[in-house]
Amino acid sequence: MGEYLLQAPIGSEQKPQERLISTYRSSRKYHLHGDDHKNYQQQYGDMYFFRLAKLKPSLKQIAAEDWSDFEIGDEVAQHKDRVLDVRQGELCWIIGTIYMDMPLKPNVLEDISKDRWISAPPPREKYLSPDDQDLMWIEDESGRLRLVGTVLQTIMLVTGSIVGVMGTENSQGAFEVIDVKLPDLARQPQRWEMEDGDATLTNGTSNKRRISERPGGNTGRKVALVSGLGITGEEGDLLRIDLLMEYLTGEVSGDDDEQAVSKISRLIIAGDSIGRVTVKADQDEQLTRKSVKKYGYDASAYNPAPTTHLDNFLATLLPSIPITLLPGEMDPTSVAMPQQPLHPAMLPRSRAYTSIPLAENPGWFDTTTNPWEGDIDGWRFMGNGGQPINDIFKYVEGDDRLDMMESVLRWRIGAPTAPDTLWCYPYQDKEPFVIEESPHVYFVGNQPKFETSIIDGPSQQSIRLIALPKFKETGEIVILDLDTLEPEVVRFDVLED
Amino acid sequence: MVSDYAKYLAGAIITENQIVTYRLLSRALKVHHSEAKRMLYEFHRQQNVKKPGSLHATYLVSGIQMLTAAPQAELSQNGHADVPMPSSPYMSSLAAPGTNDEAEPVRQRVLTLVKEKNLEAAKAKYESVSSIHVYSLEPNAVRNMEMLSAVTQRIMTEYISEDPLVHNKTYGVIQNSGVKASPLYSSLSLILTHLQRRSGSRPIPAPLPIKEETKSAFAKTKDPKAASSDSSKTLSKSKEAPPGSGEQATKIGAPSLIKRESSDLFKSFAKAKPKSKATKTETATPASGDVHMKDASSAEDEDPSPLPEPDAAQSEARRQTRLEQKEKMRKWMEEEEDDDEDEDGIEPMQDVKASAANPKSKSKAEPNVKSEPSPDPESDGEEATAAEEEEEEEEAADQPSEPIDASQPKTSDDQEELPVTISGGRRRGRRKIMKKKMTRDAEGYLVTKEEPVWESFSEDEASPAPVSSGKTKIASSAAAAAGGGKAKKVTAGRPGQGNIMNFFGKK
Repeated sequence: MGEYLLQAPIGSEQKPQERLISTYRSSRKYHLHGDDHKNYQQQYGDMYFFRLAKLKPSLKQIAAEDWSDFEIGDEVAQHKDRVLDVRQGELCWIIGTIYMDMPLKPNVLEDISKDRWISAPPPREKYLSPDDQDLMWIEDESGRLRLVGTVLQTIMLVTGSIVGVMGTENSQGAFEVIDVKLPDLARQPQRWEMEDGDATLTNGTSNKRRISERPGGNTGRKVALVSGLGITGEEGDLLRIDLLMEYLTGEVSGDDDEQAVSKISRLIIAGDSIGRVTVKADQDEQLTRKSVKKYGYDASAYNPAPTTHLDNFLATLLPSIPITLLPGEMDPTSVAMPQQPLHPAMLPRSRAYTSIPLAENPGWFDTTTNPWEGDIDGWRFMGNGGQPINDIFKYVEGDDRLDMMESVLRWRIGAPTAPDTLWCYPYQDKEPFVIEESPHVYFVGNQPKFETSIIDGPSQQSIRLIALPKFKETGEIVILDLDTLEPEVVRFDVLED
Repeated sequence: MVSDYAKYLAGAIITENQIVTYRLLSRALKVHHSEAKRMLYEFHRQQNVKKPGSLHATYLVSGIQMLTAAPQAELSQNGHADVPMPSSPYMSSLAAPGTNDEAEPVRQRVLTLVKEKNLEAAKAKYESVSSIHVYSLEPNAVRNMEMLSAVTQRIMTEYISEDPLVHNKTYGVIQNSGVKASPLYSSLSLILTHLQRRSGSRPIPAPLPIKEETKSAFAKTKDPKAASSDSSKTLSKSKEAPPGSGEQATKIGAPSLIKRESSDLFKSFAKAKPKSKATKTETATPASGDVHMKDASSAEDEDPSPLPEPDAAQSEARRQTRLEQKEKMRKWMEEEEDDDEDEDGIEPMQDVKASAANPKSKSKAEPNVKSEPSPDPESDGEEATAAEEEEEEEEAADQPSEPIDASQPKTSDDQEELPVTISGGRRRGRRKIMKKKMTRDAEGYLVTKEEPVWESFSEDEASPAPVSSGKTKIASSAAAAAGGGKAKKVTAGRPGQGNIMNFFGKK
């Protein structure tokens, strides 16, 4: 029973395993580069405008199909182009952006006016108010209309989602909703579509080669996903990370584990590799210290341990396994979505494996954005460090993460609550969060626990949802089979007394 | 053979009271991890036969656990049928996460690290155990398992200089044929981390070796005769030196070799090219082409210089054994730390000697310079006053980088490291300046005060007037000596410098 390692050394040479390799491409969709993208002067309004403009046509089509012959009494539902065109008592349907008016939601203007008087309240777990003061509005370029109706209770909506609603305006001037339509899942590319497209673009011969490279049935290739390593550099959080590291290099445990691990062709780290570091020095002390100028960095104000440990972790793995690193809420990069890649300069040992800056092809060590999109073995992966889902959580009842993830895909907006309650870059000429192609795998990091399911769309789309637990709390990583897209959990445990 | 690992383990665990994990053992003895695990087991067994309880082992158990704890926990939640686990972090391994396959028991692969006394209890939790092995041996039971993580940290610092692509095979790490590291950083990052580690304990002892070496390097390029005499002088010097610094009269050759190689290293990131062959082999071959060599670690692909026959063969061989060289270099770096004291004894003497020899070789070199690919301001022999000497040395350190940059844009990234090494030789100081400081007072008004502040500066910022004038003089005279086209190249090669001097100079 697996005790072959409990014996005297046998002195025989053992051949090291060879790791399987998957094809990989990494989208640069969320990278901000160039001077025109580093500007934060502009307004956020454009984002909502683009979102509505992009999603309106398909939503209109869906709504028209379903509602064109909808009648109440003798009245047929009419389509109104603008929210302000709605007349009282008329049965009609409109398309617009949802806005949740919640008293408990942080409000910039209020924050500023209160700024001088009281210290900021602690961040809330939920924006929902206990006594139903929350109002829901629908708006477009023309105006805004309040939505009421029991149907709204049954459907998950947050600020920023684009919906079609049908109903009538009542005597109070609110819109009584009878039915709601979502854009639903976007078109899903075929597996290997990107590679095929490329191959036909370049030439025929490479096409053949690529096809032959492809796994037919059972290659057994896998991808490991982990999030929330939470390295703080303080005592006592590294042992399980060491175990994870040794597991992935194939050193710890026995031959069968090593065999299995050699099939893992890539590690994806979905956010929060660095943990929250407790701030020790109090504010006053820091203020007085600022006046003393120090050459180089001030060791008392800066703790290099977390990044050093992360660097060591990555640098040990990289010779054996390629890594995609997404930043998360706690990581030392920009806070606004899309978070920009962790700078390789912070990881002096691992950066040897990165590509040259702005290179076309992703490096062996791909330090990338959050959210991120890419293709592994032909499957489209989409994932983030957890912020969009954690923010949606504050708007809705309950804690069903898979439901929220599904809603995001059906709304076709990767981060709907940005820019309302989720910080984000003020895009001016595009809205990258709109999902134009459904992924095959949608993973979200830093969730309370591991969960998974498959959702289907109207035109045979099928998406694997994976909520990744925080490694620091659970010691779990997820191994995803690239043939079947079946996930499996591996847990690392340290048994203290 | 048997005694090898037993000796090591006895020494480390029993004598030095350390924790040894299988990874540390596999790295220390350069064996496969499975073998290391067996060694730990065998040693543990033998010791406990001799003296029961004398050693403590920590085991790792791997296998499948059946998780059925879900349903109860679920009821306390809000009745979601497909939530098999409480959302709060579970305690130890009792509570169970799983897939959303409802109440069905979930099979999960679990790796558990466990002390020997808990081993049976841990095994009982498993549906099936696929492997058990000794993870580490300790002199006593560890109070906190996190202590084991310190061993991993130790491996990371002690074996940081090993090339993982070479050694991982030995340790049984899963190999990856697709691995690609950017050539830009690979060697540099190693050096950098080494320096970072060092600088914690001691300032970088850079300047003297750089000066001496670069100078002799230049002497050599200019005149083979001067070069050989010069290097033989330094060689003999360094041979005389060790007795002065004491102990190892037996290892006369070694210290000088070490020292010279280490200074090569420093030069390599100052971007001065090492003429490593001549010094390393200590044959003082005519090294006319050597200036074009890059240092061993980065010279993998092309070598633009037309090398003399023996040198070419040598460099060919070196390219092939590049990895070994890297390894050696690291050793040198490490040893060099130990040999610092010796060096300090040697250095001044050599420096004097070298600078004394230098003007001569320079003036001899004068006609030769024109044919050199790198224009050399230093070749102006008459300017050799003490103050300028230092300036020149810096220029010399900078100078050779130009041809490299021209021929190999790839290396331009190295430039960013330049200040790191040069800074030792740079003039640094503090000066008093008046700074405006704006503060908000009690009533909320903004108050601007001017107060004196001490600010540190280095030479690449504004330097004091005399120095700057000296520098420009050198540049101009060098330009005059080297002739029209080259003069332009000299100034063009150091863009903006003249301007900034004018800006800060006295009006």
